[in-house]
Amino acid sequence: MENAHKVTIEEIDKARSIGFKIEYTASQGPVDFVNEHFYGLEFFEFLNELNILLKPVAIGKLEQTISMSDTPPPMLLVGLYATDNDVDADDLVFERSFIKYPDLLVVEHDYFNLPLTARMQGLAIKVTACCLKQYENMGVGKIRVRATLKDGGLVWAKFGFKAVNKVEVLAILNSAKKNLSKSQFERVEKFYNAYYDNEPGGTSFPIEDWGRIPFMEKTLRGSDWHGELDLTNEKDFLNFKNYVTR
Amino acid sequence: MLRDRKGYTEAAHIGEEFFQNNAYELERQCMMVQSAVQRKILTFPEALSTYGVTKEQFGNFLVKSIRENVFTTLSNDGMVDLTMYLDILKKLFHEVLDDKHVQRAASVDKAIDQFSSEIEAEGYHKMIAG
Repeated sequence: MENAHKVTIEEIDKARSIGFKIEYTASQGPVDFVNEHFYGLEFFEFLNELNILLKPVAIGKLEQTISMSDTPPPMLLVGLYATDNDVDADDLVFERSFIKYPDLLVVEHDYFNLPLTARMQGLAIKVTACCLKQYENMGVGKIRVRATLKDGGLVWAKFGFKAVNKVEVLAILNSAKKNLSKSQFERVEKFYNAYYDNEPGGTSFPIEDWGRIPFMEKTLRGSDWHGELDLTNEKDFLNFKNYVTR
Repeated sequence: MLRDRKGYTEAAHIGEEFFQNNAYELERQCMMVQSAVQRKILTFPEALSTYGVTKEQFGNFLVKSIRENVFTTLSNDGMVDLTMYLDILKKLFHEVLDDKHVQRAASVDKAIDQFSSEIEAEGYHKMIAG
């Protein structure tokens, strides 16, 4: 990371000039804060690209916010919101929280919702590719997501996230017992046992094992679980990259 | 920061955009089959039926992954060492044979060896991309 990008005051000003409101409760100014905790982030390039991609599809007023906080752990939040609409399907919401733990940089995929008119046109892939570039620059180790609401439990299971909370995984298994035939359930249960018998306190259940089973669709559509993607795992990283670079 | 957090999440329609490439999705299905069998969670027939993958689809997946591995390893300046490649095929064929059937396979071995010599003499080359 020796040649990693260092943010400048000019970049901060340029970000403001394209409409980003920069809030900080950190004791340092934004330049020092980013360079100390989020080294490598191409600050203006990242925000400018998000602005170019998302502003044209926003319906109504677009709020663009950067929030910095150094209450441990230090956190940098990037958000773009256009939510003053009568219909929820018109809302644009994008939020990523970068959190710097002592030995790990994590990004939380808090929210991403596109207006109905902008969906399934490749925009989500472009935005995610733009994010991934910065994750690589910064050395992000993990992506966290909460898989829930409107089929999120199924979609993010197929994407390769690992489920971190055993109680949530057990709840899905119990739900599967109600939805599936005996022989289907037995197969599903084998994946649960294979993982937790070896790692009773495990925090990375490979839920894609379930996500790609056609008869698990109904069960997973209604599920609610927290997931992580380990970008230091070569296979998981390559799968993620494959999805955003095609 | 988003004021009303309840109505939003990392929406499913965002993820669905990633799943438009049918060939890659089938590849992932086949990887699940392979993984479940290798971890001894399901038998091969169980894994195929669980993930809705046909034998033919899984065979194509295996051929693709073996081919990529072998071609990458055996190539020199993008040119595959066909003699060695055909010799490996012959050895793989022998892997499933017992002593009795090895004798019956002699004619197949001979045909592969002859074919290997012929195409070498012709100067035929298999080029790979990249």
